Amino acid sequence: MNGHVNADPSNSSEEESEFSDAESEEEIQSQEDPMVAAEQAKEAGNVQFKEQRYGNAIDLYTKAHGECLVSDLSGPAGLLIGTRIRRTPLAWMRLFSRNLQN
Amino acid sequence: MDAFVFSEFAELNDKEPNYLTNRAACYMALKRYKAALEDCQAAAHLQREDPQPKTLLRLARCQLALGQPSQSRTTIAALLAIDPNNTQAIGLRQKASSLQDHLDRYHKCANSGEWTMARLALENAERLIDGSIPVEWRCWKIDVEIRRRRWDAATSTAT
Repeated sequence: MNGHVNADPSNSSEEESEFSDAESEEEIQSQEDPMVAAEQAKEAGNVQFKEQRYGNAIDLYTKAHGECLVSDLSGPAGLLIGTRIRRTPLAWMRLFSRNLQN
Repeated sequence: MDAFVFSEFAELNDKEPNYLTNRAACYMALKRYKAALEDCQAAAHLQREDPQPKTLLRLARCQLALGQPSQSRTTIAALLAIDPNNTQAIGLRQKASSLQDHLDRYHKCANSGEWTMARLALENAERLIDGSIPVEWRCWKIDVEIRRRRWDAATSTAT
């Protein structure tokens, strides 16, 4: 059974993460955007999984999951709880402008 | 503003099951099937509107590893309903059926007092699972050994 599990935990086509540069734009964004942070944690977890460091991978997937705990919420309560996301005013502005562009 | 905030949350939720199934794969590699089962169940619940074969396959494997052939077969049936040619699921269904057969044989033999055969059926069932022996099975085994007046074996199984 273990043999089946040793396949890539997610999709094998997933790209390697690119968040090693400390000063990169992506890292700054990840500190503010939980989606980016969650995806980066998942990618790092995939790397750990491939190297069979399952404990580390579990920690990283747990971190990724923790970034998106708010689920199935709607209405004002969802919005209020949603603001738990560590989003700076600048990040809110970016998000808002991105939506306007879309 | 609400609309885009909630659309973003919806996007987050779409990805959440992947984090859970990936973590489940880690737990499975460590043979921590109970934790893996919980993650697979949570992921399957989040994907209930659009069940994913990968999640269901892992869930079925966990159920089988924990000695739950009936639940495993139900999950495999759901999987095959959306992906009828999934060879891994077909193989797993065979294994789950074999396990169920051994357990059925155990109950049949135990009910008719054929304790040696009951013990054999239980041992065959144990060989088919990858996780630790379920507590219920261990209790059955103790019962069998007591019925066979194998006190040392019963004590050994209990401890």
